[in-house]
Amino acid sequence: MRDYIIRRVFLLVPIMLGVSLLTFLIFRVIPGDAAVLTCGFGCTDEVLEAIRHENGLDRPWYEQYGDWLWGVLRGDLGESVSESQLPVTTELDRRLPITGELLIMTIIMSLILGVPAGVLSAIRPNTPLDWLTRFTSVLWLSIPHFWLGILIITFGALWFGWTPPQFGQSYVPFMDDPWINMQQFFFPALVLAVGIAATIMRLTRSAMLEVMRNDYIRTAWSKGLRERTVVWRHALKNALIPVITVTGLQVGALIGGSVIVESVFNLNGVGKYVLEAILRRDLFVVQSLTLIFAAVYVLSNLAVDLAYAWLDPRIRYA
Amino acid sequence: MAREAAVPLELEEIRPPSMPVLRRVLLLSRQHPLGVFGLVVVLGLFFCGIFADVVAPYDPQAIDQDAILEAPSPSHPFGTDRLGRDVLSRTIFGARISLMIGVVSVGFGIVIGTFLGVVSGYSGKLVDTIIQRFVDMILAFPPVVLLLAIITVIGDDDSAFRKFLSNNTPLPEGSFLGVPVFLDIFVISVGIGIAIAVGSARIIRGAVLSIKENVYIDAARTLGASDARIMAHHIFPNVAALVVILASITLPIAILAEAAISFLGVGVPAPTPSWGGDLTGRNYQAALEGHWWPAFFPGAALSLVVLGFNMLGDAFRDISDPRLRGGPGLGPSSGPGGSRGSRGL
Repeated sequence: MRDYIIRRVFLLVPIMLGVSLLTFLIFRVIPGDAAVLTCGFGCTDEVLEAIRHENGLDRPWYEQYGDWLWGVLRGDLGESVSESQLPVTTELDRRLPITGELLIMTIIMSLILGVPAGVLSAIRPNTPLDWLTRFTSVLWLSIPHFWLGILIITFGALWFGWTPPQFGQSYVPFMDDPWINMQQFFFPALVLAVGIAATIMRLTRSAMLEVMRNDYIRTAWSKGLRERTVVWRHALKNALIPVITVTGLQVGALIGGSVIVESVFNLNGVGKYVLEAILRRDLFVVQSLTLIFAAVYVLSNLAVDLAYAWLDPRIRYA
Repeated sequence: MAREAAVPLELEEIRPPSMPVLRRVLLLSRQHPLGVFGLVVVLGLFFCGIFADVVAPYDPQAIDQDAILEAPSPSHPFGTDRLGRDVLSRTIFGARISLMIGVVSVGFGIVIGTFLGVVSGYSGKLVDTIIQRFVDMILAFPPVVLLLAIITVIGDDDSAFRKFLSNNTPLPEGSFLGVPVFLDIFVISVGIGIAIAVGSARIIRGAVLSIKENVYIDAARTLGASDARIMAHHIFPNVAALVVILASITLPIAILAEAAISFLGVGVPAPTPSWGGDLTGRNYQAALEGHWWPAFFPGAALSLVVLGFNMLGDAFRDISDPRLRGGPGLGPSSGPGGSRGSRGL
């Protein structure tokens, strides 16, 4: 196990190097001239030259790449070219708690919604309850986040006169005022969670159907255990292993979803920051953030693999 | 993968050959009513997309100063937006844009993905390693982030890629095949296509790895067939069914992806109707002020289409997966890319 972990962690180095090179190529080489894109509408030659010089675009590409990578490794993610010129790290300090809370709440909610529904649907297959949960899951899978978010905000305001508090005030940490904080995060997290919950529900259902056929479940039944014990203690434990894996793999979808949901619900998190940077063509900021997102994604996938090996003792990696 | 791909064969195995086609279809559709619903929706999408000019009652971009933000009524069934444009017509034309982007990006992505997958799986060794490490790198980016990055960079008016396309290829800058701003749409499709290509290359490679172990591949090689010939004539026909399935799974994903990036303001440019783009900006503002219809109907159409594709896919999987064939409606399995994919973006 320890060797496996060490090997996997070492394998990260070439992948992350490749990812950083690819990010660099996407933003510096494909556009032709990143300065022109950054400068945008109404650009003058002097400004263009200044942007070029400031960001080192007049130097050879390998020097630029080396500088950027070295900066990122030291925690220097560059600065925004917008008026404020805030360093990226300052913005991240402010925004990470928001995105973090959103993602954690989303995962908790999708597990709460998905796992029990999947179990119920699996232990009563082909009943109206089963059909209902399965139909609902396909429905939730099909409704895009942004539309669901807009519906909640629009009809919340129309029918109940309620608007999420972040449309009038800024982020309120949970410790300051739990009630306002929950109002700010409940619906964004729910919107993100329903799709993942549907995936989890479908997976839990098929995993439970598989597990319930095992011999040890028959043994549990014949010992005279109550259904509750058999299902929730004996069967679910094993059925949850693939569920945990897939939940972990949703991090990529969550990162993308946070970009969308944060802009719908006006949450000033990292996702909204990326989008704003993209819309004002702040390519140097986007480049660093893309690399960070990719790093988070790769690390979470590694964590999932390791958790899998740890949870299921039958799996032994050579 | 290869087994699930062989849909038509398995269907014939379970039904006695004497049964007439029509009756077989009727029987299947009675067992899978939701699948029929999905099929109807998908056909409706194609119909609206192709015949948008005929179906739509108004010009989707025609501004009517006298009918601003009118609620749904007989003359404007879906109401009008802040410029007095008919929402129903915009929704119908949105189908054309979605369909165009879906078809172009899936076509582009699947062709490249199949090529990479077949070459990578068949060649093995160094070629395989290079292609697969490259795929690893692209898959290391969260999909939406990758898409936003690619499209921002290649879609900008000043980008080298776009300039190359408009100067050196016959692709028209303006209207083409009834789609305004064709070049923008093409660029977006390329971006989505890259994401599709990478994912499908990985899946097809897996299928090729098992196919190339077959004896007939050895036989062909013994007879002196070249690698190119073996790939084209012996490997490709065996993954063709899988390719078709991948295309049908990725089409709704591509449509969702287009809507998502247009919603974020990076996709289809403004006056052109787009299901994602019409949910944002001023329509969203109008919705907050109580005029819900301009932002409601395009999103409803989008959800309906994705729902239709998902239901069709589920029914297809139920029919084709031998483990689930027993009772009607046993379990949506986690098939190839199924649910995870369509939400992944």
